[in-house]
Amino acid sequence: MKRKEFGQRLLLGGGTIALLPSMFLVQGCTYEPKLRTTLDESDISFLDELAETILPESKDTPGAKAAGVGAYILLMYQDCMETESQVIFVKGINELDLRAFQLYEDAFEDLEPDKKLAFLESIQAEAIAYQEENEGVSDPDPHYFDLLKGLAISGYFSSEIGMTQARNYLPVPGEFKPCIPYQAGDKPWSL
Amino acid sequence: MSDININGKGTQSTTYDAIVVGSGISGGIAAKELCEKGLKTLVLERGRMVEHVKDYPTAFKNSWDFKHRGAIPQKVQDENPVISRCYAFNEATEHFFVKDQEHPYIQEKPFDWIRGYQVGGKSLMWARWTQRWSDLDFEANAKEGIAVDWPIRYKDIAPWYSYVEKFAGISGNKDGLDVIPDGEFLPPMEMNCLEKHVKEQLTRHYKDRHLVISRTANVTQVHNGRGPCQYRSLCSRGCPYGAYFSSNSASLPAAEKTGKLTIHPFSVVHSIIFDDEKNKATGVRVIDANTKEVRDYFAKVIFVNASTLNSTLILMNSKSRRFPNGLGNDSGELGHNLMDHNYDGVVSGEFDGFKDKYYQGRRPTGVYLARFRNVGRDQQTSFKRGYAYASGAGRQAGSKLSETAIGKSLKDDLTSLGPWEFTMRGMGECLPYHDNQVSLSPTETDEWGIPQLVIDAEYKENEQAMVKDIIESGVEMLERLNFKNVKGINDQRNFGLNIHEMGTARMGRSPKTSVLNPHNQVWGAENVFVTDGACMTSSACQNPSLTYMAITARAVDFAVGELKKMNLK
Repeated sequence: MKRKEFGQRLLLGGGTIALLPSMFLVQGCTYEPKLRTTLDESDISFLDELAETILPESKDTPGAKAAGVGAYILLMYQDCMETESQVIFVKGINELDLRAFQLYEDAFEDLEPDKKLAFLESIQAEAIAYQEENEGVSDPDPHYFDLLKGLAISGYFSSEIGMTQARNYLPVPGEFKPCIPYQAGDKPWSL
Repeated sequence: MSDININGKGTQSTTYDAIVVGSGISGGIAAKELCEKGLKTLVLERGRMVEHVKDYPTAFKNSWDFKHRGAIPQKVQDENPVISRCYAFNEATEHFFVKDQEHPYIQEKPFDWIRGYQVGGKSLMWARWTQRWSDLDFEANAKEGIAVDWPIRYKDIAPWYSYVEKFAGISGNKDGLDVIPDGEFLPPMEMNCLEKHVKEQLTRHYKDRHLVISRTANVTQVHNGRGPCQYRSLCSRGCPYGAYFSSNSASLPAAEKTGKLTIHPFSVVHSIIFDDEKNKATGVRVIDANTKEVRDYFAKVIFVNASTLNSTLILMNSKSRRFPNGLGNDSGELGHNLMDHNYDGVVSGEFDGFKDKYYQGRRPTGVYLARFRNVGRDQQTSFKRGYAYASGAGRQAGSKLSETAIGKSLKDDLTSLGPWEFTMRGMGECLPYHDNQVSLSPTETDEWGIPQLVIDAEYKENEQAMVKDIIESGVEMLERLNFKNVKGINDQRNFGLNIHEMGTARMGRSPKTSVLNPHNQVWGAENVFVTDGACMTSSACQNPSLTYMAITARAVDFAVGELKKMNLK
């Protein structure tokens, strides 16, 4: 079976993990994309890597992984997402897992950062195209990548690292200064 | 409030000088005024005790201290769709809001009833904007022949506005505008640079458009031992600095200080007891929220401040030979003329400028574009009355780039500032319509055997035409002021969601057409006063709580005068 066909079967829901052909192992690749029906703790490291690619560590601030965004995304998926979005999101996570593997013959988590970024940039482009297709449609289904990106952003910037390091946090400002200077590069306040 | 007598047992008398039903923003003022005038006062509150500071469990939490970072879980939202639409309901405040499931009611048309059943009521979570009304508002019904005339004018209420402002602590600027008269203000909070720019440009382009800092019940300096504001803008969690006015931070502690106050939490008021032999109200029937035990309390004077719809529900459920259709309902107007401000129209735009300017601190209020429609020479043909805009300018982190970028460029964008934006939400007056009404369900009761409320109300042509103008005028103003990406939307909220439900036991000049007389006495039961939102004869477009407070203080002063003159036996 060619990888592409296998992938199509997985996406159509016709395949299971048990059916994974051993040829991949023969080729020296030990990774098996998962076909999830829901997300659980075992997905946190994958979610961490996805979020880290969206909001990476930089010179002066840690990234999404250090801020625990993977666990946050799992919790929000479990507790704070509408059922329709949950279904779209799980399918999307399966698709990311599988397509990264199809493209690079390796798990997303194990790819070099530039490959991770290039891959998610192509998905971001698909999400933009999807939005353009659906312009004018009332209440279209969300694209799974928009759900993922939205959660990565909200998780990071509501975390202690995001609020106190990536932005400036003044828990008790004490006064209101209505007009202060701002220079490019200055961080915004955490809200 | 540790030494308040809560649920005193045994020989405790059930007779007081005064009873106040409800401990929210108007009940708190009633209790304070009655106690300070020497009356032994019982406050009945259907919910739990909330002690200032001690019972604000989330006040100092950071975003990351909350399990869901402030979000309400989907299951809770699905089970409680009404409260989930309230802007102030989140993981940090949910303990102050009534869940839909706990207290059902019947919606003939969609009505979002936002409630806070605890000591302090919704004064804990209110938005704190406190513009005065003017005679433009008090005279409108009479001039236009709508509903009935207000039995009071600005001169009647002005000294009481001053009185409650001095107590509550209202920050604001004396702007000299007829439509929102100046009051007794603490120093104002300041406008940021874009707000100042908009203010200047508006008065340059339009002679009648005035942008001011909203008068707000947050204190900018130490006031009566409270505050000052620390600019955290976390008010609705309860303020550990006591920097905004609530029953818990201000009026109940003042009442307690007199030694005259008793508060009974968990006391659901069933009805006002009207003695047909004596031809007067003698007390209040209470059901214990937990044990369901029924108790009667007696007093010379009764203030009903249970919040607009619950005050009316209590009057409707108070049936006697004299008042078979509800206490004070000779007119048939009890339950009618329900209003709620219309906040559907929202306009926003981006400003290309002040890129080197920012601000520090989170100001817990906004700017107020005062009413200009149907004022002076402005005459609208498509709608009566007018609206103000609740407005504000700010800069968000991130720009449009964030919609398409990921990786370092996304992170860089979200850790720098985007453009200035200005947002304005119209706050439109709602006319009093007889058929916007509430009634008691003939079949459904709540857990305490009290009939459920049936609510049947909607916005009509005048409100819809006004929203159209709110959006068009807002867009026109921002475009004339060179804003970019100007957008106007109609977010079509349900009636009730603006949490300014008013009317249903209106004041008037005649028992034939109103429920309350010019002093808020129930016609025919003159020792019963209703001084919360139920008493309103029209809605104006100003945020109403300050007016409830002023009306309450005025009514207590009158009531105590009448008691002394032996006019209330």
